[in-house]
Amino acid sequence: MIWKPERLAGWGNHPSQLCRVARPERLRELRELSVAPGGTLAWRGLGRSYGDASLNAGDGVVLLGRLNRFREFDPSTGLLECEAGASLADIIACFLPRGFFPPVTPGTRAVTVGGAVACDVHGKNHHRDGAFSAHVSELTLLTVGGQLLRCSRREHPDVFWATVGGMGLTGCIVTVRLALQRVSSAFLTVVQRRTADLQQTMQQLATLDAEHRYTVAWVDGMAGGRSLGRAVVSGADHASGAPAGRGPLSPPAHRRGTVPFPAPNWFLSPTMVRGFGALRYHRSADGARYLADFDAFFYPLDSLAHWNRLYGRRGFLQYQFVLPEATALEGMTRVLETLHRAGHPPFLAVLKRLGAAGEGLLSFPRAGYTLALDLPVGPPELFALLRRLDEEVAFRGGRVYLAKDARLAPDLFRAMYPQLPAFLALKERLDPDGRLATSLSRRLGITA
Amino acid sequence: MSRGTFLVVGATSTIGRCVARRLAAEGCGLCLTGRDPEELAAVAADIAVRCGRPPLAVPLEARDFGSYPALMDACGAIPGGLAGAVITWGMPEDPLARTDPAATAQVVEVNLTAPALLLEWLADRLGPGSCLAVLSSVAGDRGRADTRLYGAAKAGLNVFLAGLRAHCDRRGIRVLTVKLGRVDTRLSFGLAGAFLAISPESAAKAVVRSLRRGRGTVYIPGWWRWIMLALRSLPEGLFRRLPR
Ligand SMILES: Cc1cc2nc3c(=O)[nH]c(=O)nc-3n(C[C@H](O)[C@H](O)[C@H](O)COP(=O)(O)OP(=O)(O)OC[C@H]3O[C@@H](n4cnc5c(N)ncnc54)[C@H](O)[C@@H]3O)c2cc1C
Ligand SMILES: NC(=O)c1ccc[n+]([C@@H]2O[C@H](COP(=O)([O-])OP(=O)(O)OC[C@H]3O[C@@H](n4cnc5c(N)ncnc54)[C@H](OP(=O)(O)O)[C@@H]3O)[C@@H](O)[C@H]2O)c1
Repeated sequence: MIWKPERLAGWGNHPSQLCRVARPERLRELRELSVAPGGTLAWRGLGRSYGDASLNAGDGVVLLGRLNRFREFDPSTGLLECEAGASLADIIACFLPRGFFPPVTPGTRAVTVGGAVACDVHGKNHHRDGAFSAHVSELTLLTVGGQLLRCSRREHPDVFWATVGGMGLTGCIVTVRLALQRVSSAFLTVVQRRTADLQQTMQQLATLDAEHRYTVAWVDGMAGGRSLGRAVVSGADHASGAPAGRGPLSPPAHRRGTVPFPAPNWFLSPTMVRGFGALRYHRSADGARYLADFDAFFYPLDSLAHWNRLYGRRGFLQYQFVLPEATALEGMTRVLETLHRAGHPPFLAVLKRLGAAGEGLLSFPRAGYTLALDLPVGPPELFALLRRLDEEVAFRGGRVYLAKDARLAPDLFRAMYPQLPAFLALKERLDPDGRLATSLSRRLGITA
Repeated sequence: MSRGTFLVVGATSTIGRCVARRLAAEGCGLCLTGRDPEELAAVAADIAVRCGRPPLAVPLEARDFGSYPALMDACGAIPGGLAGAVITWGMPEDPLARTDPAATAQVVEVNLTAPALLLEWLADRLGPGSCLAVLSSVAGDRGRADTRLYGAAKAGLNVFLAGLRAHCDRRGIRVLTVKLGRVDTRLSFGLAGAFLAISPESAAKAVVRSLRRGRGTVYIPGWWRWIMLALRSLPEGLFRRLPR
């Protein structure tokens, strides 16, 4: 296997670390590499986690995107077996024309199935359909000993529940059996509500949750004071038809732009950001109903390739946390107020309501509200500020999402993830020598 | 493109499987060969899911020349015959085995002898309107220290293909020399100049496009034609001193 030195970063471009990178092109190469002696190994799909989850500073990172074959598909059930390097983009391109769609999707389709399982990602339908793992019936895990373990709710259930949401630390997910959902159209019917403050936003999400499969609130991160948390909330469902003149399963092709190089660091300054946020809020009519194609609804950000470069070379953090229903309003108000007062209002702020937690030991989703905020790296006090917010979140019974994290401290991580001891016990059993590690796992004290 | 059935020889190569996927997406039937049985099965299953019908998958070791007739028989049984073939076989030299006769013979066999032999078999069997596309390399255009053997074999392949083209022209079979620049596969992983590399998907897209309407020698990406024209016209002493 060829290893080459390469600087890698997550989607937030912070941190960026020098790693040794290998890219198996076939299963045999992956197996050989997993048993070869050497340093520690981290797995990487499409690198869409924001922080250091797919990095391994100074050590091995294995790129899995080439192991991306479909293995089997049953059109009568929608059950797809594929290699873990297959992307949701590829699945959609191949199966949407046949009337199938991923059961759960994050806000970008440029993720691998393995990454989606390892982070147990959630979508705008978590309140109805749960996290990604809820639709995974089986996976095969390549352990550091070179053993291929078939895991499901019945076979090695302990390994299964440690692996979903397990951030790649139990082994390499090689294949996944995923239940695709049947859709009769590539379009969604969307309703939109504009709200005046955070309380209304949360209420509106709860109301729309009862009626719609997908809900999400785009919060105007710049609005403060009495308008703090005002948002455009949408509810959506798969449509059954299409706009006149289109086949239901053939959505329009969108033109995609790209950001060719990192913008100067001042580019997304608070003034610029205030403009964007307000624009989005005021452009959206209250009570609007419309038909959106899946691309525009699920993946608005995918239309601009490398949009993360807008944040400049220093990169940005996404701060995403969940709070239980009971403490969410108070806690999120605190968080937003604190950021406003410190002069770091977020550019992008997305609020969702989550349904009941799954069984993944380190899975992020739990019942309550989750808020995701994009914050440019740069201000020296930002990290201390976020540490204070972590404390607020932990104190109120919430947690920070590891797929987005680049800076959480081990003590607060332990407080946020009560099932960590069970995970560590299993990790010790599967990987006694600690071969599998990431920069994230070392920072959080999961590995040495 | 006439939908038809295409043979992809070395469908387990990174570029080969992308070519197979593209052809499958366009609705073509496929016959695939590969030497690694596990990989061949994986690629065949992928194609079967993508186009809803399983391809023919034939294990084939390039240097096992005696096994070609069996492949020809399998292809002969395809209803409607073959609309074309893409040959992806290729193997770089091991710089640590330069004086090893077996290693040297193997590089020449995989890059030149085997494709030449198989193409003779195929040229005899394909009909008018069909196309034979063979993956070669810009490395065959000019001798370089680090790829001297590989480059020599590919250069030999290029001359062979020009001759075969002349032979097949009258019979309405197009023979394509596909000279690839750098493609982001294991052959180029970790080498300097990675920024020049194109993805195997875009290489495959271009290969399939030329399968449809290419003629003679095709460079992928196209600008390599002009780079190589310039490099070929440099005196050797000057060429040698270029940064790598
Ligand atoms: C624009 C955008 C929007 C997003 N929206 C959402 C959202 O709505 N909801 C949500 O939950 N997430 C969201 N995310 C986060 C993203 O879905 C996850 O980080 C996802 O895991 C990324 O997949 P990847 O293939 O890029 O994984 P990577 O970032 O490459 O890796 C993520 C983790 O998975 C591990 N891993 C990857 N592949 C394997 C494997 N085969 N075996 C074992 N471990 C593996 C890695 O080691 C790492 O720990 C978003 C990200 C972006 C950029
Ligand atoms: N990547 C580049 O930058 C680049 C540049 C110029 C030209 N090319 C050419 O493009 C073609 C495809 O290369 P690639 O980049 O896709 O690399 P690759 O994946 O390594 O492909 C090489 C192919 O050759 C096959 N092969 C080698 N020895 C063989 C043997 N003895 N018997 C049977 N098959 C054998 C391999 O079979 P297995 O799969 O069974 O191992 C594989 O299918 C090659 O001809 C290469 O010379 C590539």
